[in-house]
Amino acid sequence: MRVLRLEGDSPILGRVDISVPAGLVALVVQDGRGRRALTRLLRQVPLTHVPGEEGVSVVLEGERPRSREEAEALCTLWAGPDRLEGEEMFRVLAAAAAGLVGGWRVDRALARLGRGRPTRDVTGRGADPAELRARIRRLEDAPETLRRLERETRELRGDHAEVAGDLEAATMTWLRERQAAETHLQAYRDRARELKARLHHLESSGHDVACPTCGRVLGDQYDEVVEELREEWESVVQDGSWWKRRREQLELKPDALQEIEGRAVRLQAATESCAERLERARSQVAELEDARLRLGHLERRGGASGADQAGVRASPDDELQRVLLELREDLTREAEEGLLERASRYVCRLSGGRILGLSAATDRGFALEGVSGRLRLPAEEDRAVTEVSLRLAALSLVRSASDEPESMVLAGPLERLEQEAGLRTVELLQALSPRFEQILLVTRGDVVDLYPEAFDHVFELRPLLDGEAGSRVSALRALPAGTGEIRIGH
Amino acid sequence: MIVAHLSDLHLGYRAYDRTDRGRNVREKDVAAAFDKAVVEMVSIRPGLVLVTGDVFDRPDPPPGALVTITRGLEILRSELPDTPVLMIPGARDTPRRPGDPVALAALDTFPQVEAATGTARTVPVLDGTVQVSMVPYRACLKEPFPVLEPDPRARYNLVMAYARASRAGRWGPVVDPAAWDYVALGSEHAHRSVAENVVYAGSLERVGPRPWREAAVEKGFVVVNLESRRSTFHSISVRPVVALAPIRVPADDPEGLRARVREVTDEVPGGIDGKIVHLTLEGLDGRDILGLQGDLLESLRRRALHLTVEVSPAGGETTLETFDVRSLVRERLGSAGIDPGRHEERLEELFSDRSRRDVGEPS
Repeated sequence: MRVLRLEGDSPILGRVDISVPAGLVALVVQDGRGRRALTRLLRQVPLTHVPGEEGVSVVLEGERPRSREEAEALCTLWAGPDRLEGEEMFRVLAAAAAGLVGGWRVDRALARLGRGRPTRDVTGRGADPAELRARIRRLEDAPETLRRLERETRELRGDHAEVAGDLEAATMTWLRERQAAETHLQAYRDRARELKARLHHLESSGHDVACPTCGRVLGDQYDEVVEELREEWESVVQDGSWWKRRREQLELKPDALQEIEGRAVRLQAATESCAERLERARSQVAELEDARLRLGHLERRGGASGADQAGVRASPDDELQRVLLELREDLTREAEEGLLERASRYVCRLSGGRILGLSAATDRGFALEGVSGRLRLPAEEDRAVTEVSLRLAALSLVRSASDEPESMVLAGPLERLEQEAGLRTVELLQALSPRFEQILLVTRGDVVDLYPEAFDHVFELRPLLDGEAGSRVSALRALPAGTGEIRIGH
Repeated sequence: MIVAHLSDLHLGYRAYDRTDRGRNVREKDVAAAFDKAVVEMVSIRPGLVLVTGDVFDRPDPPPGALVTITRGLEILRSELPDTPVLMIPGARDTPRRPGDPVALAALDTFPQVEAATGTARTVPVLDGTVQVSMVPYRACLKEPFPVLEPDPRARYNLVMAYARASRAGRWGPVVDPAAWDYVALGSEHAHRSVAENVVYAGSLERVGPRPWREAAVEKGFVVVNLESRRSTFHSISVRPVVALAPIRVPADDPEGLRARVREVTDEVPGGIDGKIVHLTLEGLDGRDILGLQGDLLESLRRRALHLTVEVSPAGGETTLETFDVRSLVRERLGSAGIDPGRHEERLEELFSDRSRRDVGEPS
């Protein structure tokens, strides 16, 4: 599945109407907000064809996911897990990789059983019941908090959308009025110049001058005509001054518009903050369910041995759930092994050997290993290059066993890479590109400047002002990419 | 009539974060290669110099790169005052946005220098005896492509272009080798002849993220005699790059791995000091490379300008396998002492591929 078109209206990107080709494609967006908006857009790709949060619909080509579980796994790999890093990212990517090679069927079966799949080990191995009970008590209120935050987020998003609409309308009104004032002012200036020229001509030519309207010699009528012309000129100058003041007034944004802008910015910040709290609440609910499942499993195991002694059997669904959960965990563990190995090679390559590889660490999934030993305090670049390596390793790992994902979106961590690591990443993407129909790199543009011949297509997404309507339009402008050809022959 | 053809200078290229007196070592290497080429050209005394693209490594070259090129042009001007220097930009030194100026344009103001930066153009030089069609990078990217035609009034007709030469392609300007005296090409870093008179000069240094791919490729420029139509390659001595043959060691033997790496690096003629070195470990897992952690690798890294160690896994890369989930579940039920037959109907429900309701779409 790959992206064919993006079309619709986005509060940040403006009107979007973009065809996206196959190949290694760089989408250059200068400002950070625009890049984030575009990445969020593309993140929704595998799940729906309808306008998403950004108001832009994404037209896809290729096989659709067969279930929500497969779609979620695909989305995680396609555009990367949102706002995760380190161990969490590693585990989520491994789970998604296992999901795409068949684990999604296990997830779907668990969902149909009504039991869901928790994010961590739920077979209860190594868990302490007392600790699990304490955790459950601590997180008891998480579902209520989640519902409240969901409500709040919905309301905030609604308000934000409304204010964004008001802002756009107010901006358009302001721009139209400014444009109108400018037009009027120019018209009055032109008229004043014309009248002045005529006056000058009459005054310098004397009474025998021809009438500027009918062409007859003015003679006795000279004074009257000059007086009239002068009065008209003064009137035009006066009216023109009014339009000049009006134009100057409209130079700055009106207070009302600034107030709406302020409200929009505050709402945006509140919405983002609420969304972050919502994500945290979701993790807490998942943690609560996870703890309940593990405690239930432990109790059943303890209960089952007691029950067996009493001759009582677990229900069929309980048996199936246990087998499915264990199977899913084993699949994820296998994926973690494969991911760690592959990501270890990639991180050595992309860091130029500064990070020698990744080693398994039970307390945090993996550790970064340098030339002299484990990196206790990885630098920001080390974390960024590790994230990129994990993502690319997960994608190429799954692609080796499956038809999906056919494409990928890479953004975010690339901007935090130092220059050489960025170049090495592009070089690795080139090496991987034969296996993917489309690789979309959302970037500020530095890496494109350094290695333009690596890309099949480079587009710059630029917001333009549609002069008349004053609305924003996002257009893709093709920039030089690849190496041109010269035909040798006749 | 002797023509010197240089290409892909990549002045301003930087890598490996190693500095010498405040300047990036690789940037100095690339500048030194160009300086050597200039000295060589002064001794050869060509009548014309062509530089086919990627003069700079980036569209906004650092000041050092500008100093290097202007110094070189000044030397050529003073030593070879009648020798024109023609330059075109390549992919690296062409800005992304069409409206942004190309750095080479600043050099066009130098006496005896011509730089075609945007559209293709034909330039008569040496009192019109030589016509050169200059085709910069952008001119080969999209239509309309320039129409290249030799001028029958000129004694020699040349083309200079930054592009990939293709005999079977359907895209780009057309060049018939029989109609031209010499076609100078840029973009490839290895010197090669596409036809007798259609030649890539190759780059002056080994630049890019994987320079060891060119470890065995000589660097330099081409000198062509237009009368005899013979071209010769003049190599320039540049920093050595060593691509060591892959070594195989058994997994889980860090001591053996270290011994083998020590052995292989000791065998490099002249040692690895100051060189760019690439080593592949074959047959190992990505984590086996950790066996190199410690003094040995640190010391090798200090000695080489840059040392890259990569792992190529045994039998190809590790992969995941797809599987039949339902069969696996049955197997596991059996292993747990549970009769899978009890669950057949339920398994059928759980694993059936239902409608698109599963992805939240109307069925």
